[in-house]
Amino acid sequence: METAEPLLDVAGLRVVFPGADGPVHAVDGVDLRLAAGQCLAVVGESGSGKSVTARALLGLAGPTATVTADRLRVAGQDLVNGGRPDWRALRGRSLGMVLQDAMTSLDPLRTVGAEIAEPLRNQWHSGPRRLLPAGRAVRERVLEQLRAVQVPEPGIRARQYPHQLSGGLRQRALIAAALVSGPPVLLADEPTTALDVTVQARILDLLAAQRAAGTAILLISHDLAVVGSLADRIAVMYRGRFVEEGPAAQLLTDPAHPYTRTLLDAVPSRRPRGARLSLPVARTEPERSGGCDFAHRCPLVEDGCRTSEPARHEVTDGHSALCRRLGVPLPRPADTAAAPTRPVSSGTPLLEAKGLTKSFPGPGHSRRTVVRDVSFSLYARETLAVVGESGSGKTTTAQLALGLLEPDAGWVRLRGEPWSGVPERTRRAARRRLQHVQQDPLSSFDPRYTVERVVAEAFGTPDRGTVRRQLPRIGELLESVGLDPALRTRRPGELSGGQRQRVAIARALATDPELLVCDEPVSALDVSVQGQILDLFRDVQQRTGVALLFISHDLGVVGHVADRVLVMREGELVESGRVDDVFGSPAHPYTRSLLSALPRLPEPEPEGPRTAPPRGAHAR
Amino acid sequence: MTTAPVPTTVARRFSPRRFSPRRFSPRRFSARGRLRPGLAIAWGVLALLVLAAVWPEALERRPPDHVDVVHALRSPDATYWFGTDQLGRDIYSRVVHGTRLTLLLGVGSVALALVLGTFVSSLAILGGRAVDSLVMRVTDVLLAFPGMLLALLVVAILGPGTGNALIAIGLSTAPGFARLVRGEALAVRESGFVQAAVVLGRPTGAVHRDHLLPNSLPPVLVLATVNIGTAIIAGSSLSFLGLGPEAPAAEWGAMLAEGRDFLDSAWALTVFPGLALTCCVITLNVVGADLRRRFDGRSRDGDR
Repeated sequence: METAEPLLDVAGLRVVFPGADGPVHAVDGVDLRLAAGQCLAVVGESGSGKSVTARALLGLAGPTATVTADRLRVAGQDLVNGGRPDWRALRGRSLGMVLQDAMTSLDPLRTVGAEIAEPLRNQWHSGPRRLLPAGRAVRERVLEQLRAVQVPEPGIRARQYPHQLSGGLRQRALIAAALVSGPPVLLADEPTTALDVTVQARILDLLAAQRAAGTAILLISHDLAVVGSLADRIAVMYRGRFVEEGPAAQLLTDPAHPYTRTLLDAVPSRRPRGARLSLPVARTEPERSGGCDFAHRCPLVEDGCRTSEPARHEVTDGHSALCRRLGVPLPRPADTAAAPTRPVSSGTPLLEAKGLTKSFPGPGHSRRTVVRDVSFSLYARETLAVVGESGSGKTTTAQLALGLLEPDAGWVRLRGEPWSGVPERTRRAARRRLQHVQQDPLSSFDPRYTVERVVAEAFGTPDRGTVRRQLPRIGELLESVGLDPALRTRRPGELSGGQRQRVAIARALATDPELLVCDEPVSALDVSVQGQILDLFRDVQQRTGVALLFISHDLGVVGHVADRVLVMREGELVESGRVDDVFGSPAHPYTRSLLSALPRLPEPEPEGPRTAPPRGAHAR
Repeated sequence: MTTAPVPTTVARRFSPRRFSPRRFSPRRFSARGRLRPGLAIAWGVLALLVLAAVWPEALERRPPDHVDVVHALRSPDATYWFGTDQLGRDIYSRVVHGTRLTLLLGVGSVALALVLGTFVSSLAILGGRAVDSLVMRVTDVLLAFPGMLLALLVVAILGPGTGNALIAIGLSTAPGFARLVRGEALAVRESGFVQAAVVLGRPTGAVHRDHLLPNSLPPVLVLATVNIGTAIIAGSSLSFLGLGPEAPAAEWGAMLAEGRDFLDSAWALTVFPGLALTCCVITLNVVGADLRRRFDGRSRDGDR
């Protein structure tokens, strides 16, 4: 594959940070090569070291980091042996960088045009000619670049400020700024994570076009589906190492390393509806004992894994994995059969909404209608999902259902009793039947509280007395959501994202609710953790029969958990029905565009030599 | 192949750590709390001031009210460190004994303002829109007056005296606290954990008590430390005008007023109480700033 000299040639890259308990090896011996027109994707969960890898290549690992490498060549320049590298000349000219959050990465006080022009000016200043570019030449180059990243009306956009642009346009502007001085290598760190699916699809197309034009792309993402549509090769990173690396198509259809395999199994759109996504593996805290780092989570672990480091094995040519148990079949989650969608119930709905309309004050004296004439019924024990892009009114609908907002028009009824339009005093008695799981669990906990106090609030004043009286119940609840009851004295800030969401679910379940309103409960989580939380919802629902109103922008997740689905767009309900019908034969063009924009992974190989029991029905 | 370090010339301001959310840990606290010499002096002076306020007898050299006309208007020397006043009283001892009244006026009036401000803003938040408008408009009107003018007005109504001066300064400081507490509480009210408490069916008053107030207090306490210095000056100003503590009591502002008549013959009468006042206010400001640096930016742990 390496025809010419690779643009990026790294061997033995190590990044070490000083930590409280000794040095932290954030990147631990990474080798990568990237040639023109190629795309290498680095995937992994948060904390795996993927972003640090990219930062180290730019010399931005931070003042406390110690960066070492056997070989580090960027665009033909040797950064290890060539003395102090001129990072500033390197950034922008040889390496362009696109970051995840376009809003915070763009200066709010500068126009987009000025932002894009900056690398140009820097380059001219430090370049060999040291000539100040003519204003017009810069302007034209900026406009040309904006056109190249398909920004409509570049002349107007260049004069606007970041807050005047949509998320997609901001991300394009950021890409334009990264590309404007023509770097041969582009580092993209989660470039589409904050974007809606349809916008994400367009940004991915744009990156694909750049790759076709000869730019080498190092793509960093936690989303395997995004990566699969763009990358030539994929490296799976775990605890600072590439545990598996290979051609994209092969790695996704026939993964070798158990970590990659559990990751892929946790992608909801690849698994049968309602099937388990995670394996019940005891999550003990790992110790660096010289064995395999993945041993404590590995379903295939054997004694040898804990004592000796795994060697790199070639699976096929160009596809290697860091594991001594290659070829051993992976146990599958117990039930892989697709759960049938529950039949639509009749009788009195648990929650019924009719003609809900809500508007908020907009600029000046205008009013912005966020939800317009939305009606739905939710029956006991079922899962009703609301999907839509950001700004579609999903969250407002959830707040109306919870009685946290009063509708301008329309009504909500709970078991036939009026739920909207009544004073809070009346509602309070019934509030416990309806609970809420928020997107960001941490902000849903009082920052001063420990886990036990957070949960104790469901039983009254969250003071020491309540905690003491309800201690057995609190322990039970924590256990029921898969948390060690010993965690009760911790503060939520010390817990992982998945653990925090479990605490939030435990608190919501403490009142024995009939309905859980879940507002994007898994969208801030890694794929593997997302799988565990979705499994938890499934178990809870089977055990308690609680109904779910599940708000999500992720159609893969919705297709996995929901019985029925509502599709929202700009505050209006455009389609609703059983999830199989809506996803199988979408009637509304908007639903079709959402579904077609969804990046898809290749279907797993049905019954290979290494993939044991049949994988059950296809997702959709 | 040997592993070679990659030379970096990363300027500190490019470090991504700077942009990570602040986290709070005991370790971080001590790292932030390293005492610089100036701070050490300030904390030392504060300790001395507190000692003087609590147990002035430990520091005095003779009773502060001991009249000794023979030794009136002495300049500072080995016996009378700060000299003596027109009645021969030891200025040093009077300054030491004045600390209690001065600090009492400052701390007491701020505490009063804090309690009053919190109460009034709670009323505004819990009382619905009409009460809120009424309370906050009254606050606006009070804020429109200069604090000293307001304090004078209150003393004019209540009459002079230590307690009344304290009340006057407290009342004139309270509107600022009311405004701050209300603003903070309104911001906290939008947070996820208040929403969670409402969904759990907790009564409004309980949510206010358990979540809104405790989470609004840290910035208010910071304002309080800043205000103590101002309140001390206001208290001394009132005593200077003869509206504070009654005559023989040693109070720095009152001592300044008495010494004013002897400015050309005995400088010590005004210089030492004035210095004490200045040192006290500077110390409280430095200590307040240090506290603010340590406790502001509440711990909203958020690593993702």
